Amino acid sequence: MSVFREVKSHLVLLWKYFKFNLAASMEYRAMFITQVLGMALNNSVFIIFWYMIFKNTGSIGNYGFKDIMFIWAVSSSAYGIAHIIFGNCAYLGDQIQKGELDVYLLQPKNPLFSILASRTIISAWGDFLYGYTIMLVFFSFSFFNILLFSFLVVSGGVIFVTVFSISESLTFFMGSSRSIAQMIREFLISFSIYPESIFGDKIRWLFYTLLPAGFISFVPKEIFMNSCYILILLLLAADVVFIFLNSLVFNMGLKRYESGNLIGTRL
Amino acid sequence: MKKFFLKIKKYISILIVSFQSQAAYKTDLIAQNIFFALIVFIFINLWNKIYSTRTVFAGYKKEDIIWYFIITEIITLTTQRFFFQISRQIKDGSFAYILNKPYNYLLYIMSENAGSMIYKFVSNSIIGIVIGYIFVGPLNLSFLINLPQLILCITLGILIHFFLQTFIALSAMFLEDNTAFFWIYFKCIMIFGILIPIDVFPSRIFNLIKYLPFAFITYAPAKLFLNFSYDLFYETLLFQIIYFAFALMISIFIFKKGVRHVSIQGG
Repeated sequence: MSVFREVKSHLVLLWKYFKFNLAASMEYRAMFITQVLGMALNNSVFIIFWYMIFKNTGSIGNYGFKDIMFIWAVSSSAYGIAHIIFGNCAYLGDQIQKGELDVYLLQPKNPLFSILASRTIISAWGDFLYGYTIMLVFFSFSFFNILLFSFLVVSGGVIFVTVFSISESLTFFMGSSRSIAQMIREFLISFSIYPESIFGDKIRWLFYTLLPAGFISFVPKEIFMNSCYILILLLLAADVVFIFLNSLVFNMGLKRYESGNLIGTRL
Repeated sequence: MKKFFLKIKKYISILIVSFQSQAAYKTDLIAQNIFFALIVFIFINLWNKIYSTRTVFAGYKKEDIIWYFIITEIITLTTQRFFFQISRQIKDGSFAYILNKPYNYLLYIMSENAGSMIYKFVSNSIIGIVIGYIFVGPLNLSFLINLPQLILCITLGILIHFFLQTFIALSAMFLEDNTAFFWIYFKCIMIFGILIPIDVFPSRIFNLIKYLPFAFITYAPAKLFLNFSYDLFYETLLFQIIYFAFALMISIFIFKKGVRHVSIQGG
């Protein structure tokens, strides 16, 4: 019962963070609109690239144009939702390095949860909406499809946040993990948006372990395009494992944390 | 003449200092090299898969298209991220420290960034040549005969890219947020020059985009590398000089206009 209450109270906090961050973003409305539209346009350039490739080839491995559009849609929206709700996952290492976590450690909620939710990235709205736009343009619009897609987006979002957060948490152990975190970020994003079948068997194991792009786009593609609904259980298990790993690495690192004695308030 | 050399001397000193300071950001630079290697690796896998069922794609052999991609990536990555650096200097006000010094701002930022440009160009070229050599075999060495012409075209391509970025970055003096414009600009370069040779597009589109500045940043120099002809060289050179002069002029114009407009808080 207390677990249920904990989850509920964290969800309430998340909603409040979301409302506050959104209101803060909307304060600069012109910037909000240009960033959202700019990011959506930015992503859509790849439609032209893939269209030209498939126009000349027909298919690549077992991937067709629609398959590519799907992995783009799900990974964009997953990346988007991850950075709309837990936008601080990209800045965690910086805050650890500067010793700026004190203010979160004093709060009555889970510190990792509060840190991650305390910032939103405006352009992530562009990524999020882009994925849904692709879905509406290239796939049949039905309540079931949108519901299933939304589930896959949330699940992929969990993987993005936890992997980024783990790589940023390495700062506790390394002094600065900026370069390694940046590399993991680039690798994870890049591997999520290209067909799995272009990579040899020797590196595919990476997509289900260290750089889990498989759980962001390849497994969701099987679920959505080939109706392999049993794989939903695999996604849920992967989400739980990565949340656990994230919490483990962060809590282990927190024991080594040194405050920067910065006096700060969170209003 | 002596006055001219005295003027140039300070920019050379800035260049030397910036080159030496690269050592302080070794990990960041190496991370960028690794990112370059990753992208090349992904594209080699993609093209290997595509060519597994054919020998020619839009008139290109596999070796040519992979070397094309490597060369275009080297050109664009050489000046990547300068937009963010210049834009940030304006937004956070550190721009003011440069304005009151006896420099020409545009020459200053060019010499300040030349150190990392040289490093990135040389290191990415080595990485690109090694990866290309391992995966697709040696580059046709006939390009060595025309090396001076090729270096000239690549340098002009880099300079056009640099000053177009500078122009967009300097728009921060007028706009609340200019990042979206850079994303769109950069994606135009990606689609009209990096990801695939523009000959792949239908002839009506190709005839239009082959005269856009994006094509002269990457496509034309890379095409010269693969298949040098004096006709293409003179045409490329002519358009590159026009676009370079244009990019430089609009950068000077926006700087002169903007510097009167800018207001920076003290502190």
